Amino acid sequence: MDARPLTEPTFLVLAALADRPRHGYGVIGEVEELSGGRVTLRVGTLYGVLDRLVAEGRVEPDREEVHAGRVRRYHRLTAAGRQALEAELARQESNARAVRARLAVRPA
Amino acid sequence: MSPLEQRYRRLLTWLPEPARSRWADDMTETWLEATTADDPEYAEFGSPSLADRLDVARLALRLRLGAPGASVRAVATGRTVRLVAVAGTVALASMALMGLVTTAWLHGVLPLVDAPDLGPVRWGPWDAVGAVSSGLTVALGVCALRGLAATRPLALAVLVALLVEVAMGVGGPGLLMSLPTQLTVAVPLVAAVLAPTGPPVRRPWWPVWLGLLVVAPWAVGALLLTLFPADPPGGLLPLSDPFVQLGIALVATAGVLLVRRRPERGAAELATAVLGVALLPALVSRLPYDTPAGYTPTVLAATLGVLLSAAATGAVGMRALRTLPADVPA
Repeated sequence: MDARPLTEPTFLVLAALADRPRHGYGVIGEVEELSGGRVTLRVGTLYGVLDRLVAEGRVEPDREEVHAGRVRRYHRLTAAGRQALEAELARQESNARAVRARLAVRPA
Repeated sequence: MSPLEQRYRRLLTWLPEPARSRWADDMTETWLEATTADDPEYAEFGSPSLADRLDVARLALRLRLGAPGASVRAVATGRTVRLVAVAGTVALASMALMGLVTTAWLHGVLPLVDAPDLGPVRWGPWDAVGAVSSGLTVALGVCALRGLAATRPLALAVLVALLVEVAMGVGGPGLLMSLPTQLTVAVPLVAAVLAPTGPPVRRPWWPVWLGLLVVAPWAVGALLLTLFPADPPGGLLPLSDPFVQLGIALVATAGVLLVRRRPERGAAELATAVLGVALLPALVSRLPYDTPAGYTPTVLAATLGVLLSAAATGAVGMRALRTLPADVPA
């Protein structure tokens, strides 16, 4: 398994799929919400990330639904994807704890 | 299908197979949902924005250079670009390091070695910028070899410094003479910006060897100048020119690659050819100078050697690349 930190778009896409499968537009909306409106994924960026995550076995196709005459393809996290997301969360939490401890010490 | 959808699907033809088959429908559906919001007028007359075009172009480039999920041929192409980036930046880093050592020597700050007696050495702001750029180039070579994430921003920084140098020379007398060399330098830098990121190049003997070969003839050139301080033979003078040295290194590399029996041909041969072709402007620009007798034949021989070896490795590399499937995922 790749031990390198996840890029922000990759982390947010995995996070957007953590609670339930989503289609492309759903992932874009969820990423925007998760980031407090700070990150709006472009379609090419999203599918570049999804393509890589599928190739790495972290995300897989879930189902297809027809909406307004168009097919929507949903994707879900795999066990490997959930593990990668949890590892990244642990890394970020550990960093945040260390920095908070430093910030708590007021300079003399 | 609305005219807008047709226009976006036309844009998606930039994507290589098999990614286009996998994602085109999904991307179109998502893009239409994100942009039109059921506006019939926009669906009729609208068009993908410049940002949308750049977005698709960026994805297409990544997939053509072997991003995960790309085809076998795209992965080989990406490996070629990465080798051009690694070998080229290692060569540039060797030259930059030698430049820094020479500058230190001229200023008498090199330990154990006396500075040459050339009178006061001038040091202007552009020399300082050049020294910083050389330092960044050395760091770039190390990062490219180790596959570090800093490679791309460093390559971009050195490329910007090069462009500033070109812009500063516009209208000046030296631009036409320096432009071919700057073009040669720009090729590995652009490759380092575009190259797919990844772990360090496995068994990095080839770029390391290339770097060492660039340093070794420089040392030979310095030795010759020490042996013949008053009147060095004109035919040997080009050996102190780093671009001629790079040419010799590339010819030697091409010879080894062509002679050795390797199960997997393609990327290394193509990378040698690309670096050789990129080197030609710098070598050719050295021919019209008013140089000592014997200088031009040596540069001409190096130019012809690079041209022939680039043609041979390019042909072998292209043949190997064409045998790889373009629509099968790696």
